[in-house]
Amino acid sequence: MDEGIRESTLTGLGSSPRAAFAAFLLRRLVSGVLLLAVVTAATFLLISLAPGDTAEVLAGQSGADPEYLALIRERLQLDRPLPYQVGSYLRAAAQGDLGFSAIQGRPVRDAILARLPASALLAATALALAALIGVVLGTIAATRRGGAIDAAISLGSLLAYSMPVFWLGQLLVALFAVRLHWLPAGGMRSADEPGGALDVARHLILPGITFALLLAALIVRVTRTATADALGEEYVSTARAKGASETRVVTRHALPNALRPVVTVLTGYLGTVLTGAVLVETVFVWPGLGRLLYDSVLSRDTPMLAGLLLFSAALVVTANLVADVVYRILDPRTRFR
Amino acid sequence: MMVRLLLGSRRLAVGALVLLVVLAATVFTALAASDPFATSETILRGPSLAHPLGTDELGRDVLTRVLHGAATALKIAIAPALVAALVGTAVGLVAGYFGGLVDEVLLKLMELTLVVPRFLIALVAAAFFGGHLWLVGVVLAATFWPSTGRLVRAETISLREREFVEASVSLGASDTWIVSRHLLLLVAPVVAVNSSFQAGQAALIEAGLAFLGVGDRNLVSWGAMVADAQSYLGVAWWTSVFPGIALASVILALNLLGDGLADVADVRGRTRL
Repeated sequence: MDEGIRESTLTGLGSSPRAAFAAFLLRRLVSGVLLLAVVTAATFLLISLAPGDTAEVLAGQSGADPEYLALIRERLQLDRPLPYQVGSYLRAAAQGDLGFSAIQGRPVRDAILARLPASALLAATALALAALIGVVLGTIAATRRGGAIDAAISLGSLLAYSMPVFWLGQLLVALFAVRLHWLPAGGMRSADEPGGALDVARHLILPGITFALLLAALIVRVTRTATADALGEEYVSTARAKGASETRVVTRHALPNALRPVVTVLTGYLGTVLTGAVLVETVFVWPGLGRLLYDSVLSRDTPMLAGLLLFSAALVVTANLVADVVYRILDPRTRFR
Repeated sequence: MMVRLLLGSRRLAVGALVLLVVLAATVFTALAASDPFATSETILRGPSLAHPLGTDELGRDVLTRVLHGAATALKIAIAPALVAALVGTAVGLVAGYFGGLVDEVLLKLMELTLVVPRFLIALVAAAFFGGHLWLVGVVLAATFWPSTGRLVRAETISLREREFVEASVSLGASDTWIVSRHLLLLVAPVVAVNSSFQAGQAALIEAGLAFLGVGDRNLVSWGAMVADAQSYLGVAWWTSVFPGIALASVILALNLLGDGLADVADVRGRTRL
């Protein structure tokens, strides 16, 4: 491992773009891991600061089995000074051991993994929907800057951005589920005839739209600003001078450059998908991580909360890394630098 | 140019107007001494002369509660954003102007605090220590300032290289003078825009926490009102619609304010929104 690092760092100093990219990736990876380690350590410090015996706090319930408490004490070296405890906790977390949730009745990692697919489905749907709507509307607004359409799109996006998601979700439930009976009010599958992709899709519509709206509002605004800026650049004038059609100028020249800030917003949200989804998943009783977080808050499930906190931080760090990589791919200048 | 200024100032005006109305409402309710927790026999009654916005499941007057909720929303919107603006501007100016090790350390610190989403931190903190409004405010201020700081740092770095700084230095100006007399004024518009958006976000987060049931139970929160209304959606729409409108209006007003400011000061696209 050490040899590998030294080698890529050395070649990174060379002129080969691929080696430079590898070195860049490695640097970001290392700083991401360090960041996560600090967050993990901080989480454990918080737990040890909480009133009461650390082992009992981690056991998640008072009057836990003494043998179990002894096991926790031994594993995390709770009888030794704090640095050792933090070290043990870090080592365990690095191995994917986030502790055991007495309330869920299973390891924290398993509970998170069990809820992940539902969350991923909701998040992917919302992100895809939002990206589509956001980029299209944002580009339209940018090409008609100062006009009535632009003003309408801008105001609409600001309105959508100001909408509390839980209230919007509630209104949609009241209208489409309670009053019109068109769509289910919550859950992921029907109780009477569960299963089937179509059934899940029907349940996905309302939470998907609710979640996507906020995100789309953000993407519209970023796309509009970035595309408008790009349209003022010299390469756009050059393209126009060469006789390129306006459609070609926008879609082939301006938009690709404008997409970079959009990627930042999208990946930025990828990391906060968990928290953004808490409210949506609570309103629509969606069985994802957000709902798990909500239940853990209500039941004061410390190991679960700590695990979700770390998982969320890991998502943010990963998303930032992905954003950096996509950035480099989208920006030819960094490829040849 | 004129179009943008006009559009900007109109948004600014609408946003400011709504906020003034909300402020007036809080002053009015503080003077009227009506009890938002007073229950009555008339439960889930629709809007009428006696109860213009109807009553909720405990017979409490929805209008009174909506008015009282304004104070909660304004407090949480203003205080954390203000603290973050002060701290973030100071840190960002220092990091951006002096650079070097100071910058490196401050930047790492700011990155660190941005790793865990603030709503998550606020949620966990509220779950363990109770969702007191001041606690939520502290969490928000602590998580708002790094984004303000990063923004100011980036602005400062681009300003630092400009000729007027060189000119000031050659005229014998000290670092303190340059930072406090020149740079501070130049980053102020971006900070103001950013703070308006943060204020809107703060109101949204407080309402979200209250909606999840971990808000301050001693105060009236629009988020909690919307949550209480969840069970009566089919029979009493007014218990959800009116607090929701109030909440959305305040957030929209703050965002309009930020948006208008951004256009007037010509700093659009430099803040995140």
